[in-house]
Amino acid sequence: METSLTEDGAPAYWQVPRLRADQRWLGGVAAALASEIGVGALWIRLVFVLLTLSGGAGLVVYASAWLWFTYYARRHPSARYVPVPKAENPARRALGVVFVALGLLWLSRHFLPSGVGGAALWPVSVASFGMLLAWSSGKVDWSAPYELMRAAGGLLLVAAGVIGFIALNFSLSVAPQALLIATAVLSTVVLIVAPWLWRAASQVREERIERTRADERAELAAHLHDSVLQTLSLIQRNADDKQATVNLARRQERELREWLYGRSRGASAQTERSFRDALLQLGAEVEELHAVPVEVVVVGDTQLDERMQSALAAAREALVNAARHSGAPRVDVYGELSAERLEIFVRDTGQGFDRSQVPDDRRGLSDSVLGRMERAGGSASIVSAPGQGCEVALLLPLAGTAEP
Amino acid sequence: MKRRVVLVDDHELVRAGVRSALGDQVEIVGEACDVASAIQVIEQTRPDVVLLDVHLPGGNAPAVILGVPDTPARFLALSVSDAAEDVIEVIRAGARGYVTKAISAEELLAAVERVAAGDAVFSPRLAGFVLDAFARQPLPAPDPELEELTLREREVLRLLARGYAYKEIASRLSISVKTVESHASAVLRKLQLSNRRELSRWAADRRLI
Repeated sequence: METSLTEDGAPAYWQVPRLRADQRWLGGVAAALASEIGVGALWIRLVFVLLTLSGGAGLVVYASAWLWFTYYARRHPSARYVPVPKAENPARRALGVVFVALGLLWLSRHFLPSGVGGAALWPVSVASFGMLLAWSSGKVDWSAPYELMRAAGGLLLVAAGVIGFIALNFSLSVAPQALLIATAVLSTVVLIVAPWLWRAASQVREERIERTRADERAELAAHLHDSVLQTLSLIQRNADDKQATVNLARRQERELREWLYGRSRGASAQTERSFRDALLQLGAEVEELHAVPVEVVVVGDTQLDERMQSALAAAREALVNAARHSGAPRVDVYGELSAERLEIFVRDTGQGFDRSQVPDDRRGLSDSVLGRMERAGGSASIVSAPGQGCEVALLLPLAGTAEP
Repeated sequence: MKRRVVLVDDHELVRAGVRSALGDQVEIVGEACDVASAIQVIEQTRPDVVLLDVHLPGGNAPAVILGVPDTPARFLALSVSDAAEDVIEVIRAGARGYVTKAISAEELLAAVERVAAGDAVFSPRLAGFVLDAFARQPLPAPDPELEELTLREREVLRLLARGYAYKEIASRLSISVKTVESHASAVLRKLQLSNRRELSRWAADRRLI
C-alpha cells in the first residue's frame, strides 16, 4: 500500500486512508477507516471501544493507526485519495467489520493478559493515547473550547497512565515517594537544560535579526551609492549652472522618494506597466525635459493596454504643449481610472489662448491630441481662453475593452 | 492680526526655509524638532496654527496631534512624504490639511490663513489620496453616510485634484467659495469619522488604534 493509485491510474483497492478532521471525535481514525471500508463510522468506533475494554488493545491500535496515517499523509501530500467500497452492499461490509472485530477480540483475550500483562499494558496504552490526543490538537484553533478540552484531557490521560503504571507495578504506598523522586529528577533536568535552550533560542533570533539588518543596510548602501552619491557629484560639477543643478536635485528627490515609499519598485523592470506608474513617469519625464514642475495625481490603477497607451501618448502631447507654451509656473495632471472610463486632465494656469486664433503649430498639436484619442475610441476637449490658462480633458470609455 | 505659528520639523534647514518663506507675514512663536518638544511648545505658546512634518523622531505627526487634545491650535501637515497612508493618518488624527514642501510661499501663506480660519486645505495630491481611499469598495457600514462621498463632494475633490483653486471651483460649479469650503470640510470630517477598512487597517498597522 505504498501508493494510492495503481499503475493505470485507477484507485488501488486498499489505500492508506486520510484522517477525517471534519468528522472526528478524537483523532479522526475511526472516520478514516470507515470511509475506506465504506461503513458508518459508528461501527468502527464501537469496535475500538470493545477492543479497549477487553485489555486495552484498542487504544494501542488507535494510536498506531493515527501515527501511520499522519506519517503517510505527510510523506505523500499530493496523493489522491479515492476510497473503493470493499463489498457490493453495506450489509456485507458491516458483517466483515464484525468478523474482524471478533477475531481481534479473541486475539487480545488470549494473548495480551498473559503476555505483557495488565500491569503495564493498560497504563501505557492510556498514557500513549493521552499523548496522541494532546499532540493531535497541535495546529488548531486554540480559542475553541473543544480543542482546549481535548488537549487538557490528553494531558490528564498521560498523567493518569504514568501514575497508574507506578501504582500497578510497585505498591501503591510508594506512589508518593515515586512522584517526589520523578519531580525532583525532572526539575533538575529542566534547571540544567532550560537556560541553555533559552540562550540558544534567543541567539538564533538575534542572528536572524542581525542578518536581516545587514541585508537591509547593504541594499540601502548600494542604492544610495548608485543614485544619491552620483547625483551629488554631478551637482558639484554643475554648480555654476543653476537650472541643471535644480533639475538634478529634483530628479534625485523624486527617485529617492519613489524608492523609499516603494511606489514603483520593480515596476520599471516589468514589461507590463501600470497606469499609475506610467502617468507618474510621464510627468517626471516632461518635468525634466522642460524644467516646469508637473504635479501628477492618480486615482485608481490597472495594467496598461494599447488604448490606454494611446491616451497616455495624447496626454504627453498636451503636457509638453502646456510646459512649452503656457508659461505657467506649474502644470497639474490628474488621471482617474474607474471600471467604466479613463480620464486624464492636463491643466495649466498660464497665458491660455483663443482657439480661433491659434498659431498653426499649436493647432496641429491640439488636432493630434484629438486625433489620437478618436483613433483609440475616446474623445478630447480643450478649454482655454486668453489669460485663463488651459485644460485638456481626455476621456476613454473602458466598457469597450472587450472588443478587439 | 498676524497668525501665531509653531513650526515642527526635525530638520533645521527645513524650518529655516519655511521661516524665510513665511517671512514677517506671520508670527513664528515656537519651533520643535520632535514629538515631546512639539507637545511642550504647543502647550506653552498656544499658537493658532502648527505646521507639522509628517515624519518625526519619537513618533509621527499623529502622536503630536493626539498629545495635545485640548489645544485650540489647528494643524497643517507639511511634508515631502508621498505615502498615501502617512498622509491619511495625519488627517484622521485631526490635521486640517496637507501640503507638500514644494508649495510656493504665497500658497503656503494662504494655506495657513485658511487653516487658521478653520477651513480645510486640500492640495491636489491630498484630494487624490482621499478619492483613492473612498474609491475602494465600501463595507456594509453602520453609518453609510460616513462611508461615501456625495456627488458634489466628489466633484469638488476631483476639481481640486485637477489643480483648481477654491475660487475657480466656485465659479465653475456656480456656487460660493464658502460652499466649496464647507464641502472640503465635510470630506475631512468623513475621513476622520469613517471606519472604512482600508483606513482602519492603516491606522492599526501603525498602532494608532
